[in-house]
Amino acid sequence: MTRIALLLLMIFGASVYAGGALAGELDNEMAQYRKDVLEINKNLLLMEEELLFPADTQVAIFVSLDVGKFFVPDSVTLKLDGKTVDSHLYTDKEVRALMNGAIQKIHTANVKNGTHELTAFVTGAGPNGREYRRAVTLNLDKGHGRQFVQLKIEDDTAAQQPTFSFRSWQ
Amino acid sequence: MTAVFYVVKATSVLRVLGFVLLTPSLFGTLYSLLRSARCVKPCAFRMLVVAVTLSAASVSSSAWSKSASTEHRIDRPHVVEDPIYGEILFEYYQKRYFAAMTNILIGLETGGLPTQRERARVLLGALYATYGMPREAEALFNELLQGAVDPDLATRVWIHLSNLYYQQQRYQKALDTLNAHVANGKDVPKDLRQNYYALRTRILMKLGRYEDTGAALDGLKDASTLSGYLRYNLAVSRINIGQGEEGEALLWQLVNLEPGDEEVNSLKDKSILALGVYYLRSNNPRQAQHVLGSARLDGPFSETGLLLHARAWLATQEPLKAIGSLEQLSRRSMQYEEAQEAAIALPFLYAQLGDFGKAQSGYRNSIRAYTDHYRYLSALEEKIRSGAWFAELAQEPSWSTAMDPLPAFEPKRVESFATFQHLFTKNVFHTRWLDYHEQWRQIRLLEQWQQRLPAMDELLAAHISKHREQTPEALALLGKTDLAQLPERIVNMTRRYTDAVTHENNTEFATVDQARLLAGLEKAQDNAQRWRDKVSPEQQEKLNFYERVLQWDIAENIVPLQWQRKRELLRLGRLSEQSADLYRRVEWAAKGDLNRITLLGRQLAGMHNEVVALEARGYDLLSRQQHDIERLALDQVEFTRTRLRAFTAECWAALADLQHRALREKYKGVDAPPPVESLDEHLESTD
Repeated sequence: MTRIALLLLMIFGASVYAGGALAGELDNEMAQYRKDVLEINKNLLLMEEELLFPADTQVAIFVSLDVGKFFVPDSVTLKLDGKTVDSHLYTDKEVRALMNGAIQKIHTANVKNGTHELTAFVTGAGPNGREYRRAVTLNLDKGHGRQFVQLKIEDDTAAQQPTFSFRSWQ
Repeated sequence: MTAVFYVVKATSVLRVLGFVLLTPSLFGTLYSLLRSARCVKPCAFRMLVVAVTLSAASVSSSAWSKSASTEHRIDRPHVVEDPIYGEILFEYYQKRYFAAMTNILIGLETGGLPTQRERARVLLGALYATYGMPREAEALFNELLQGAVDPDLATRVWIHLSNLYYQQQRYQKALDTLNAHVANGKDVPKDLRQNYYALRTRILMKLGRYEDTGAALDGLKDASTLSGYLRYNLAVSRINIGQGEEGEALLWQLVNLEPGDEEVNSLKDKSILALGVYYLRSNNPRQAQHVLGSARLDGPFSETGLLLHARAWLATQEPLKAIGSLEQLSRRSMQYEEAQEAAIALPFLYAQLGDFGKAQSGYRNSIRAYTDHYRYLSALEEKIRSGAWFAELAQEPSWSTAMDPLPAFEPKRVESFATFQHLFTKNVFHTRWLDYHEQWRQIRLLEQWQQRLPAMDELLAAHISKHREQTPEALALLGKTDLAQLPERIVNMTRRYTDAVTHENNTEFATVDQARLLAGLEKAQDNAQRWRDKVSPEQQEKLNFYERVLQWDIAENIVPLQWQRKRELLRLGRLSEQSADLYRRVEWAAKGDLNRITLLGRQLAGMHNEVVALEARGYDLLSRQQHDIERLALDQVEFTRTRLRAFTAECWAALADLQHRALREKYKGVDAPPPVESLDEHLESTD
């Protein structure tokens, strides 16, 4: 009987899993595979953007939140030259990301050169959780090349209110 | 009989609880799998995913905080200068690491990170490290450190590099890296500090320098779960090398934690069991009984708890008190290893208590149960080999879109779940299981691209068709523009202006009226010359007078007139430049853009092929991962079978002993029976 117990102990001591070398090989292959998938994903996304939004007509619109004490966004609706081009409802995760300093690319559009009117309608919770709605407009002068527009939502500590403004740059 | 006890002790105390070091992720799996096995609460693998990504989250900034707290916020002042970097963070903070990695690669390739390139690369390296791409991560970190990287970023890179060495089990190098480049925790960016201390603690533990872990461990917030895991591991390690008192103190800290969520409670349970084992090992069974009495009977470790509880009462020679726990265990599924052990321990105890009838029937029942389970395992083996077991266990992995974080993917609570519950908690299974899921995501991503590629083809075709339609129009327009010779005309006008100024030819600057009068005067002078005999000298003189007056009038306003012309010429010059620029762009669009579109078409076709090839490779890897998991399951089955064979043999031997005893009792007068071995002797021999 003692012999059996010792045998069991030996079995216990031995690793049930003995495929280290093979696993290493598989891990290497998976790493290479992931690298390849990342690469093709990147290339395809670039290609798609190139086809959908050629650099010369592209306008990308971003949203940032700094700091978010006086305003927590619920939704943003964008109008370009009077037409609604995008609406976005925010999830908690997205709001947290914005509060941590991230910037959201909310919309990409193809726009001809010249002057355009961009309006953002923002709703959310303002100071003391009150419902808050604001509209902010930018006369966008689209020139050659890719253009970025940032909708900045900032806290105005002195006024204890949020402020909304656009920033445009190329 | 001694051996029976030896088996119970060896397998339960050493292996089941076994002082196995826990990693947060491993513990997460253990906890969630076991919990899912009992259907306690359904959040299971989510915590595991969080645990897995802990090190990634430490990477660059602050994102791994679960709450919306702005404790680590980075936007005062807002450090995002490149919008693409902000966009990367937007993905990263939502734990969409795959999307974040892709965006970094795009930003790096398109030059979208003019000011925050290095910061993005540090993040990429850390994400590589957690995404199972250590070579890429190491290469990137080394490249960053060779360049003139910002000191704050350099500290981050050194910590990530050290973490990478740790993952590669190069512990001394990991420690040397930290010692050489990160002087103390205060130099570490605030958002990385907890991870820095945790890393340092782990490295020191791996190197066996337990005494030195104190400072690093103190740096951790006491209430954090990470701190709990590390304290548990440290306690177990210290007990294992003979520093029992230090380990015991740490375990008590964990046992005395306030009850919290399931994760905390499971950690408390595990600590209780570890303490119980420690007390049993150090011949302090009363203390073991005391501490094991507070272990939960419905937690993920309840089987182990029951077995140890029985062991503690046996150690104080109170077998009657042990029977309750063992009976409870014996009623549970034979798939639990603890139940298998209880099945043999229980009749042994009956025999010890002199209830030979119960002992005999107990052994017979156990043999039957072992045999049934043995047969069950044979059927299970067949099922594993046929792939049915894996299909049942894995089902279809759930996912929403390919760029989302991996959703929960738990082994299904299939009928054979308990047989593999120890396998499910092993790191090797856990890694392979997550890899398998990740592999599915990659394949889904490629499938998604397969669906989108035809649309891209159409888009490209539309570009080509539009190009073909518009090129002739554009070329015609360019031809007209060429004919208009606009630049040459501007040059001529400029030359005329310069000549007029140089030679003081004021008439060039006459207004429209003045020019009309001048033209009239000139015509009158011509007529006067032609009809000289009919023009009186007075009339001629009058004409000359008018001309001088007009010249004087022009000369009087020459400065504003010249300035006006000059301004007009400059304006025309600018317009000419703009039209030349437009001309070049239309020319490029008409001619050069065709090359671009042709190139895009070629690239797209190449990508088509690449996606198909990658998908095939992905399926191949997927089946190898499945095979790997099945091999682990088969090993587990074989391991259990070996145990069952040994237990069965042991039961038969015990039955033979009982038979022998009964015979000797029967023929008492002929030959005296041997004395029954006391419990003390059993315990001594098992120790």
